[in-house]
Amino acid sequence: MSSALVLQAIVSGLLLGGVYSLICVGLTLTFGVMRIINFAHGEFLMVAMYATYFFAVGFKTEPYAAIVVVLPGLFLFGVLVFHFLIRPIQSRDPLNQMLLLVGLSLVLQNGALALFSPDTRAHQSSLLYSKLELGDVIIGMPMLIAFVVSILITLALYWQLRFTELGRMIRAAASDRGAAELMGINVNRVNMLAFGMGIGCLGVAAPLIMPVYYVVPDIGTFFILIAFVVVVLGGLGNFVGAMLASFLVAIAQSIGALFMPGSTAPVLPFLLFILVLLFKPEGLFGRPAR
Amino acid sequence: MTTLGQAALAAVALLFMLSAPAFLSEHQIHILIQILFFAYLSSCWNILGGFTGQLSFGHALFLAVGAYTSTLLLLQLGVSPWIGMLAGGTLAGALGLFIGYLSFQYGIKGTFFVLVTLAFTEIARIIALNTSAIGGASGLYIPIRGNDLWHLKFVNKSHYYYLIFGLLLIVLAVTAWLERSRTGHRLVAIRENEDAAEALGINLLRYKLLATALSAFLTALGGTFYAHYVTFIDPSTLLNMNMALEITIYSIVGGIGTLLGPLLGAAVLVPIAETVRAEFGHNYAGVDERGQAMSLLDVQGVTRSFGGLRAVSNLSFAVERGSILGLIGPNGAGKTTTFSLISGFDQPSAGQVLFKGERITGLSPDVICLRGLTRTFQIMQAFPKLTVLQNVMIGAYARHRAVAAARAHATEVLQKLGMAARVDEQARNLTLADLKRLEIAKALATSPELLLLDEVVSGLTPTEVEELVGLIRNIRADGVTIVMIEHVMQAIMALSDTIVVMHHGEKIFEGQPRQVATNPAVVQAYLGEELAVA
Repeated sequence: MSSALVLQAIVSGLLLGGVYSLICVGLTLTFGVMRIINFAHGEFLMVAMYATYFFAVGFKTEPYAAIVVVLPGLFLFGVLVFHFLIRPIQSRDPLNQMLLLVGLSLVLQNGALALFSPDTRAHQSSLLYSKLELGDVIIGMPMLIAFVVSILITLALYWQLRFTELGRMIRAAASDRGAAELMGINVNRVNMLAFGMGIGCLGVAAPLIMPVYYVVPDIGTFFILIAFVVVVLGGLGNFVGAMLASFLVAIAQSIGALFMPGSTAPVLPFLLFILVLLFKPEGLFGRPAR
Repeated sequence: MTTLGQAALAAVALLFMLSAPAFLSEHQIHILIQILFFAYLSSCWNILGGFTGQLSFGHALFLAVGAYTSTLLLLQLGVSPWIGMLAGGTLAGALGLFIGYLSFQYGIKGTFFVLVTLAFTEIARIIALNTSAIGGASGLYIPIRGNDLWHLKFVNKSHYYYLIFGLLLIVLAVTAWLERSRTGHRLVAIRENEDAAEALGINLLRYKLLATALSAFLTALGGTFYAHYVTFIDPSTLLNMNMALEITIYSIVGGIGTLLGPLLGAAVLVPIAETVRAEFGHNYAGVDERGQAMSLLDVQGVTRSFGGLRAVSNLSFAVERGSILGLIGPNGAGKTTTFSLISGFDQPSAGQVLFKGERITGLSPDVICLRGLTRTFQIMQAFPKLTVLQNVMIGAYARHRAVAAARAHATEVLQKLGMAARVDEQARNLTLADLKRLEIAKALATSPELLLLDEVVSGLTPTEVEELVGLIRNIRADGVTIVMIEHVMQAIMALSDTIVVMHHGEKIFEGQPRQVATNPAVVQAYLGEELAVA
């Protein structure tokens, strides 16, 4: 095994981790709000990718330009879903809430199937084949852009939650709803904004990954299982943990691909996931809870 | 209602269900079988998810264990599916114990149990995709063999109907017993409040494991039924998240933790789903960006006569952009002639072919190729003394004037097809598998929108078949629409969105892969062929 190959695998893993991280920070944020895992997260991503595709094709622009429309659009979509679907059943059994989101994911997926057909749609950026070559290592430009932006977004969200008024309110509402209400925080409004932000992250993710992926109605399921793994490994609700776990998972996959037979490397994240749930359920980067 | 009234109602319902095949059409029986099948699976799931309150999204795994175990035992060792069914059930039960023990012993419940079961299913899917001994990505195909109870093979659908109906009655009986028994009451207590249940002397772990093993065992029996009814199994159909969700959804809608809830849910939802699929599925497929319904390829009433013989007779079908259409049929059915008629190597006696909405009938093959439609040949047509790269560059010249650009494009295509190591070899020195790939590479280098593949899989070893199936999937993922003629059923079943069956020049069937093997006309055509050969 040449060292150049391993180096390339690590770099590719880091870049792929950037893509995962873009998708997962939003998921971990919505978990912080709802205390349940958003099973429709992949379908929100699918919606964002179609929006990106139609924007870029319709206005004949680079996919990246779609951010100006897709980001606010997804934020609004998230807010509406929270207001009309999640808020009314927030006091119910968490499993019921989860099933509601499963139902939403099926509706979105099949709605897309009916509206857009199962055709694969790709909109290639003019950057698709441009790349950086550092010695033996090749870095695709679209992946590099996604990587850099994902780190910026994670840091921005982290900063916002730590140091802004809204961030403090979101954290207060997440840690103790009753106490937050007593302090005069409108918990519903805060949660609605936080959920919108979590979904809004996908409004950035979709335009960034559109140049390298294609969109089909069930593209969500392609990402969602990995996303679940990542947010649990990172410690639910923990952004920086989610980002680190994204890189860990992606690098494990790309290095595993060098050593494992066939294409069995994708089992690694799931094995890791089961082990962590069994032995360290608070996540790799979390402190033991309670 | 009195007990007598209930008994009478049950008797009437039973009588109706038993006599149903006598007055229903094939298609209606097919839908009824689907209702019963999903009602069965959801009832099995309900024992764990409903009564015990442990939501599992991993029942697709148990289903697959049942399907694969019985199919492999039949194909490899000739073991009867009835025995395979019990073996699969036992294996699934053991797997359920393993997953359950890990989860419950370590206090995993609620959402986390859902995720653990999903994770196990995903691991199984990836392993199954990569294990060629069990068919890998291309799956396993059970040959059609006429009526044979011992081998669970029937031409008539009503036999399958009675089988799944019997299975459903069994799971309902088990559930009804649970509802009335000490065990069932204790399971419900666990669902409602674990701490309280434990304080009253219930061993949580033991009861949860019992429910998991029972539920997994029964689910696997359904898997065996599925494998032999559909006659084709593969990881992407059985082990995906949607299958896992579908199993749970009928219980949830019909009434979770109730005896008849899953049946009610399936009876309402399955027909709705079928109707919606029939009404909208077809209309909406292939709507292009301008919002108009337009197929990429539209074959309209094409006929080709050689003297008195009609090689192709009034053939019509449409291919949607981004899809894979499989064209199958016994030898001499007119499949390759159809390819020649589409690609311009031969002209139809009647009818026409539209590509991207424009008539291409009457154009020559090179013009059609430049418009974005090209074919491969059943008997490989490589340029023998040119190297692999040169061969493919000839194709690339269709789009590139400069030699360097053509070389770059050809190299890229060869990389995609995993032939990068062979670029400098002469075509005549290649193995059959590489020749087949070269055939595809040449065609692909012309950057087609529609690719006609003529028996590119036939004659390869199972491992090679599997690799090629993966490559064809990638080609489709790159946005190329594909029509393929193939005799290797595994490849056709694994790849096609739609299958058209030809026999004596006529189309005798068009539909989804899972419908093909259960269609009487198709079975007849193939059986007739086999008998004629024998």
